[in-house]
Amino acid sequence: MNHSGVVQFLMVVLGAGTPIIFATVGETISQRSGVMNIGIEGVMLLAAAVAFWTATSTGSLVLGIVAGGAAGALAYAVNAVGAISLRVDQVVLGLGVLIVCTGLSEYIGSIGGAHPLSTQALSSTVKPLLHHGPAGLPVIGPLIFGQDILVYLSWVAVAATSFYLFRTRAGLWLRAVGDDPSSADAAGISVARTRYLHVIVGGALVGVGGAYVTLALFGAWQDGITAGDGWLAFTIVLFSGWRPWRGLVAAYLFAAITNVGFNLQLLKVSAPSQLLTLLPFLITLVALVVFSRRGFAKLHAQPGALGVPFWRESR
Amino acid sequence: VSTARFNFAKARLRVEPRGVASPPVQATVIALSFGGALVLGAIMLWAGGHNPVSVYRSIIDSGFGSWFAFSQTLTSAAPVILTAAATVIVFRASIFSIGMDGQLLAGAIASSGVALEIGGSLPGIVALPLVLAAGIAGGLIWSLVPALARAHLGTNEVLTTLMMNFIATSFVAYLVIGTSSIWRDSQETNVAEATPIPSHTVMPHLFQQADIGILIASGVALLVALLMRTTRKGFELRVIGNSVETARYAGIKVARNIVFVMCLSGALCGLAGAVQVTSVTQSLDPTSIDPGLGIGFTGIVVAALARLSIVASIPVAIVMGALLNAGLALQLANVPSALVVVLQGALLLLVIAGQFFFKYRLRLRTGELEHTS
Repeated sequence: MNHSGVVQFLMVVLGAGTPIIFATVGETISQRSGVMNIGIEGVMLLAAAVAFWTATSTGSLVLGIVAGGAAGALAYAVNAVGAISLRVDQVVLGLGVLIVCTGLSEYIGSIGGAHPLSTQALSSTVKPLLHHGPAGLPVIGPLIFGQDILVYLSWVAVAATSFYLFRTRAGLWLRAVGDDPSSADAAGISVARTRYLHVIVGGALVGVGGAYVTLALFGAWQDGITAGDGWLAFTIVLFSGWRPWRGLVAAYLFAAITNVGFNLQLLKVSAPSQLLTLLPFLITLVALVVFSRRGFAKLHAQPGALGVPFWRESR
Repeated sequence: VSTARFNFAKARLRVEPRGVASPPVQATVIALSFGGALVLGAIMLWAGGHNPVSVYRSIIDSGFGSWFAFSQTLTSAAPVILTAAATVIVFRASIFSIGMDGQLLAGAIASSGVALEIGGSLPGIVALPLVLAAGIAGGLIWSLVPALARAHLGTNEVLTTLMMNFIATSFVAYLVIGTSSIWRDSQETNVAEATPIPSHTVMPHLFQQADIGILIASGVALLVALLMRTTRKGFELRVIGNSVETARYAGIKVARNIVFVMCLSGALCGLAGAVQVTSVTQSLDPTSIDPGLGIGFTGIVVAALARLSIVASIPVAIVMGALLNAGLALQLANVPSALVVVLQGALLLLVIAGQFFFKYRLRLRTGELEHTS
């Protein structure tokens, strides 16, 4: 692979990694409060459809991204009501969110009669900010300066979330609520309010990730367009030990593995595409088993009350 | 004159645990859950410019309107009954395996492989049981890695089973599209198509479109329910489901039981895959072998709706089978078939939300009545 081939591949990885980063950061915030959502994939799909529908009907990409974020926040709010107020089992709850959101995304994609969403196109997608100047530099020019605004925002989201979690008082409270809600409650922190707030903010980030898929990566809609990004994000949250910077590295790593087919095409090596699609999942499975010594959870700072509803009276 | 006045400022809606919900409360909650899902679907239909009443009527007609429709419903329900039973037994043991789809596909690969390889040279009475057994073995093997990892390493079973699902889906596509394996029809050279299994390895006919698959599925599910209720193993699993600590203290071998129940669940899903192959698709067709939401996920929805009872899962699965069949009828009426998926999901969310009211009650605490004179 020559010089420009490497740059080209890394550009693809940066693009493909961005929705995964947004989803990973969003779910990390949610899980840090003790609420998980295994329906991320569905939420991203719904946000992707809503964002695309908004952008095509208003002609505004910004509105599309906002609408995607709002759809994500709304879907996570449903998950929050179930997990926090109704104290439902979070695996089954997440599955319900997954199914409803996936179905809704396909429903949105099919309305519009003779011109369903899948036949429409954006007049322009989210584009890189710079084309000249620093973006013209060899190698680092396009990689660092030639990205679109949302790529930079994903880095900002990672940095801000990491700072918030580990360097601010509110972040400390959030981690306290996720680790030991009884103690947090005794210290005067409202467990329910903290959880609702962070789950919904996290959902908005997941939604932006979904919006990125339709508005920046593809500029089009089709059923199941996120193609497993949400599932990858869910596994990355665990692998990263609920730490945003590790999540960013893992997201790019997974994006690279997922796009290895593209890489191999550049190398003119042919491999059955069906086997390539199962590669990231096989690697995840192996890694899950290898790194799953008992005590792994403790070592990797899994929130102590993850998936456990808080009920003051049963303390 | 002294009057008691309700103090609104002090009134609070309080959540209180309750012992056991009375049957009328349970029935009301379930009815409201179903009603809520139907209303939600009606709103979506109405927003999309359809007549909800006529669409709902066509859904019921395509599921139960005639013996032909009902026979199709039963055929769709058969594998769902098995994946629902597979869900119930693991969830009851507090193991949240969601790998039913992967195990079903593994069962489908194994059973169609056996049918294609040796089914042609054996009489049906021998071949069909062999094919079903191969499905059971396939599903069991597919559940082995998550089961052993969960039991002995404590690996999160939600994620491992999920990964096994993705791997199975891609693997089925690879076998039929990516290679020239026995699963790929060598007669068909232009497009990749799955090889049809020999006709005598197809399930014997029952009536109309229905075959004995529904009887096998219901029979096996009821047998598993009976064994779970009456055997020592079933008791041990119930204890584990309630509290792993208690189980350890009582001397129950937790790891061994976890492997057992996850493998049994995998075997049931594998059988579901074999039923799907020998009854519906009659090949390893990647697009129709595990359609829509997935027979495994549908089984999880059914199990949750049936409140983790295998016996109750059977009628719920039949209703769900009707809903699955409705997809085609809806498309003919220009209603997006995604509506069925939304209805399934909304039903699941409302029913699990409703379970809150089985465990807790809301009480309006009036505060003190203030006496003014």
